[in-house]
Amino acid sequence: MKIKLIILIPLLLFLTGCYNYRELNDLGITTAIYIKKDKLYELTIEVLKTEKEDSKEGDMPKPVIFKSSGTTIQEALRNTILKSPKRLYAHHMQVLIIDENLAKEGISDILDLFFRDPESRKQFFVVVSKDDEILETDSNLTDTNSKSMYERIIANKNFLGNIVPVTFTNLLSKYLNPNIEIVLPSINIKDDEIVFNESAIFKKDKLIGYISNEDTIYLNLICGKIKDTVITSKDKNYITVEINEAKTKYKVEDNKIEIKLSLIGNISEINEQIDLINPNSINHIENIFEEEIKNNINNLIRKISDYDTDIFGFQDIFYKYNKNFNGLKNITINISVNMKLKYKGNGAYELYER
Amino acid sequence: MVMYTKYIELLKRETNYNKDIIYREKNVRGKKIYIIFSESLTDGSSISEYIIKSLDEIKKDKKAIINDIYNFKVIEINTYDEIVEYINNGFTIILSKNYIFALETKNKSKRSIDIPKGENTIRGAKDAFTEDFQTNIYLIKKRIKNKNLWIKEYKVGNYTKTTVDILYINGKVDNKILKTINEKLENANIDGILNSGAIKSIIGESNINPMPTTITTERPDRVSKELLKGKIAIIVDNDPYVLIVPAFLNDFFKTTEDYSEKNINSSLTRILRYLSFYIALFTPALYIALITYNQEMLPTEFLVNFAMQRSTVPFPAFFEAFMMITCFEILRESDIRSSGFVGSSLSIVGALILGEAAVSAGIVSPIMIIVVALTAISSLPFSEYELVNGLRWYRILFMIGASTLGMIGIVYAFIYFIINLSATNLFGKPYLMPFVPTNFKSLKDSIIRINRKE
Repeated sequence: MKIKLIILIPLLLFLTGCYNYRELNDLGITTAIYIKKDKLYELTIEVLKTEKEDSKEGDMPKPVIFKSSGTTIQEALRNTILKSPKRLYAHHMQVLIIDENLAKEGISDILDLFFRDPESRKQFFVVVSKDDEILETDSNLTDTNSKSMYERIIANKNFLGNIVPVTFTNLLSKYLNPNIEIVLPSINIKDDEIVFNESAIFKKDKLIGYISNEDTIYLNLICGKIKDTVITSKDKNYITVEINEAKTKYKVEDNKIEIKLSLIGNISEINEQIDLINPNSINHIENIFEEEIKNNINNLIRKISDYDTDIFGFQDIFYKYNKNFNGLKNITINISVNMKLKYKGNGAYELYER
Repeated sequence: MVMYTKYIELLKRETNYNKDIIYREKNVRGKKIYIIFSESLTDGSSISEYIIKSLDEIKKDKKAIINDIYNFKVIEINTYDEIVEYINNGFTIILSKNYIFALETKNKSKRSIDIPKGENTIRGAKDAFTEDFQTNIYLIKKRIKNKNLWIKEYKVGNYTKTTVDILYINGKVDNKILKTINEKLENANIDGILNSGAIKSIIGESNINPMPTTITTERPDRVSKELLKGKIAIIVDNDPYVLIVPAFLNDFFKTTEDYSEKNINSSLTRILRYLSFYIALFTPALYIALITYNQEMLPTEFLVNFAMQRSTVPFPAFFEAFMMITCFEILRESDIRSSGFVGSSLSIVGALILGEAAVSAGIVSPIMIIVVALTAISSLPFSEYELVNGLRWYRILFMIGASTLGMIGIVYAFIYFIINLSATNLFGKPYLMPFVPTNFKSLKDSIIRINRKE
């Protein structure tokens, strides 16, 4: 009996059929999917090429672009088998690109598919595109367009903050949360290169408009999502400050919200002769910026109120403080900005005297 | 009254008139005595110098022999069995009508104390045990000069009658363990013991856990160190390796050199050893799991790189891994067994055929070579040969787990590994001793060494 068991158990191990077993060579590593709808769903898929070429060691070969269509997205995805011997493998997907027109119709179908699909990691970024041929453009600095976009979104998040980086998980949680609306970065092709130039704002799951990159900085400031950014004042001459630390505090009453921004930064560029040694002139610059940021935020809020979509998530904040919220138009928003410029660099004054 | 002629007849008959045993007749003061010894085991010059010469000068009988004989060790014996035993131990027997004496005349031809071959240290004692158990005891006693270093001697083996000594420090040793070992050695029913490894089975090492439960060492300083911790050393005659019981898993990660360094440095070395232990266990299994099941765990660039390297390999990843690990084990075994002459050609074959050529022939991917190399170097920092051998079993287990269920399989195998180790019991003490059950005092000398004075 014992001997039988000893023989049988190892045999069983080899007879399991190896659930989920996939050999690396058979995978079509998908890094980006572009979804468009024109009666049928039309997909453009970027798959990394893993066949060894005689090129230099360590060089990533150019990706392969597939096109496929179907009545549903899943059908279109499966139809890629007609064109590629390798099964798509979406765990390494980095960007999902949604066509502008499809986004105007609504993105809930896409969300539904990727939400329930166990075969994809949910950490890819989602962007909206105005142009069709996004994945076909030649990427200059990186091997693939997906990687280029992915790294730019990460860099932007850390150093600029003028787009809203949205991973699929974020998108889903915003979609499922009735108190906040979706904002996605928007891309288009300019001079043969993909550029992030606007942010697409949504109501429910439909795209309803765009805001500029500059406005997106203020959007991120209100939401407290800024890590590091650069703001330029348009008052008389240009002064640019780099903001290293931004804190946002909310004070909520019924139908009233007070937003306190405290920014810490340093002066990086001045195009006018200012005596930086004098503390008053620093105070002056601070005041200019405080005033300008405040105005810009107010303008942004007014613009968004016209769309009547709560992309700031004010309703969420009210909900957290257990206060009433009657729509974006009906609440009073007070903004106070406190800016501190800590570093001004060495001898900026002397440089102008020469 | 001794029936000495009868004894001689019996001995001659029992040994089948072995020419090795010399029976010399001699008259001392008119009385006939016999001098019996085994030629190969004894030192001829000391017999003629100290025994025969002094017998000639003897004036009186019996008592005078004890008094006047030059030999340093004279034992009076009574029975025939004792005669046989002493002859086989290199003693010379003086047999006469009234008495039997055994005089030590052992042949002292033995290997001189050499440097340790298997357990190297940069700083540390350079003497190693030899095949002679008395030299081995000397090497330990030289280090621990204390009346509490107790030695108990056994004769084990129905045929070989091998001397087995257990050494311990009275007062420090765990008496329960001592009692068990004592019982087992006394009741050992075995034909012969030719090396210390045979003692392991006598004292009850289990086969379910392939990891070693006794330290085998050739370093007297290590034995002394462990004796001071209250462990028991078992010295087997004719074996230059001394056993130390009980040995917990943590003990195999320590070397004597750790204690000659600053503890901050030796702690890092120990962390490194633990790390390499786990690298040696897991690397091939992780490779299989990552390549065939859990590709999502790798960064994209890495994955593309792996896929490109593997694109020419026709075999599934686990077959590739099993093949290369087997090749490596064969290479290791032949390197140990072969003589020094083929050693260099073996390394060329290993490096070229298994490395370079296998890759360019498209049989394995370059990353597999790295995995095997990493596994190989990670099993080297352990002086205990059996630890590396035991580790192989678990490595195979992890590889099977990985090739059937991926990461989950490794987790299952690891659960089995932990259960098996924790279930191992050494004389009532758990194998994972300082960790489970946690003993904070001993933890100070485990993965890191805190107490410097110890």
